[in-house]
Amino acid sequence: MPTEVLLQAVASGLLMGCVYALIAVGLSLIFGLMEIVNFAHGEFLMLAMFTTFWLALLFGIDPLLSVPICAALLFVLGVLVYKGIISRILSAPMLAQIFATFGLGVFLRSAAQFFWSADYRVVPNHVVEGRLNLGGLFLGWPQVVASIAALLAFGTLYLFVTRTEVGLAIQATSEDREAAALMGISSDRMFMLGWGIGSLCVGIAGALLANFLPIFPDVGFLFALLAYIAVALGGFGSIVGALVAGVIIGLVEAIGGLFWPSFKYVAVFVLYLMVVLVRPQGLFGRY
Amino acid sequence: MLSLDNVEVGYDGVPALHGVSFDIAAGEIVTIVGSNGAGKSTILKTVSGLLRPIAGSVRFEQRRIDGVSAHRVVGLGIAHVPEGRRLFARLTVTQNLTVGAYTRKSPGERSAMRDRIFDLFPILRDRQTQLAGTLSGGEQQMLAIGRGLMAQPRLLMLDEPSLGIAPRLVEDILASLARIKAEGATILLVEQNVVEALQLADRGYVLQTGRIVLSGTGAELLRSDLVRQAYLGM
Repeated sequence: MPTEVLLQAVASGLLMGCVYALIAVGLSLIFGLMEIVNFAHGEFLMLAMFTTFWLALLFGIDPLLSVPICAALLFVLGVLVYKGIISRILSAPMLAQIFATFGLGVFLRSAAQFFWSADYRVVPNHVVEGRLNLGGLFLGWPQVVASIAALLAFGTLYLFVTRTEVGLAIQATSEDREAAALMGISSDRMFMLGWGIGSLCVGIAGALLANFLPIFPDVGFLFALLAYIAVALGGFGSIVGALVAGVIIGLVEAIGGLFWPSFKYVAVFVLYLMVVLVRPQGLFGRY
Repeated sequence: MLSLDNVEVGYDGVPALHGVSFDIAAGEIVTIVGSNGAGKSTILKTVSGLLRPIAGSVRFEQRRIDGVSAHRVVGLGIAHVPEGRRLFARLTVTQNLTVGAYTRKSPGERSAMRDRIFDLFPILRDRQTQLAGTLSGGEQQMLAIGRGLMAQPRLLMLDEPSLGIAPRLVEDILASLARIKAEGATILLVEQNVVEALQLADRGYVLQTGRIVLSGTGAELLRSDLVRQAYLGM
């Protein structure tokens, strides 16, 4: 196999990996904070993509401009979902918690199908188009922009969580919510914030993906699945782990696709299985 | 300053405190001694709002605080240093102190408080950037007390600060409480280390199976038959 082809796969794998990481970190943040998995995470992504689509179609807003809009809208959605559903099932049995978010996902997907049909949509005429020629290496500009923006968002989140006082409060709550309460930190507010920020991440990712991927009600499924794997691979609740695992998955997917196009996700899952067999807590996990 | 009146608390319907009443005046060190499971921690958790009493009342500076959520009690001036320290192990020493000052936003007050804590426990000054989980047991207890002090409480409650700590450090930590008192705080101390605790305290209460069975000055309790037989084995 020619080196250029392999390099090409590595490059596109890296680019997609950054977006996977951003999707995964939203999931990881929520889980690390309160041990609840958001099974509607993929549907949140789908909603962000559809929002981008409709904003472009109805108001001519470019997907890049919808990044902040989607971020804000999804933040609000996350807060509403926490207040409306999650805060009521905090002490419920785990099965109830799973069904609550799983059911929300089914509901959102079906609602999208009902209102917008199952058709594939593409955002019309966006500003970022074409390919970047990097010495014989061709990278789609939308993908390049998406990965850079995803990395920026990721870095901002990392600094927020590790350097700001609210970030410290989030970390303290995720370690020991009772001890955090004794410091004056309301776990309810931190959970609400966690859902807002976790959803904001997937909102940014959705707007960026809408730049170059078709949009349909089931679009979130694959991304959510890869995000669950990234979270488990990187270690539940670990921010750095989500980044590393997201990029690894992007690379394995792209390189696996070279050798075995129709089974490229098999490579991803096999890698995941190997890691959890050897290191069940994930690469950077603490459990 | 703090007064409990006929407080009853239960866990899932199983009563843990049966009508506990006591008072603490400003500037005192009061200790509650008793064996494992007597309900000592339950009293502290009830004052700090982690537990709600079924009956009775808790007043702090004339204000009723039973039923106030834990995260609001700190702001009223009560810090609770919990049993087992409960530090944020993956945060550094400095970050733990910062989180301790969550209700005190003024940067000037914070750095002044940090300096006071480093004067009290100089070892913490050298450990500032270390993760709390990597400290020794004694250092962790010092940090837990420091984290509680960062909220600038008027009442500091400590739950078993000597638990699992080298005997030499136990003396240091108990001595630091005398200094904290001298600087103006009121202290409620729960201890299984009966002799040291009663020697340090102005007054004490003996708790048995959820009831206060004896009260008096530290010296009186140390001389009492009950304490000598039940806790000192004499």
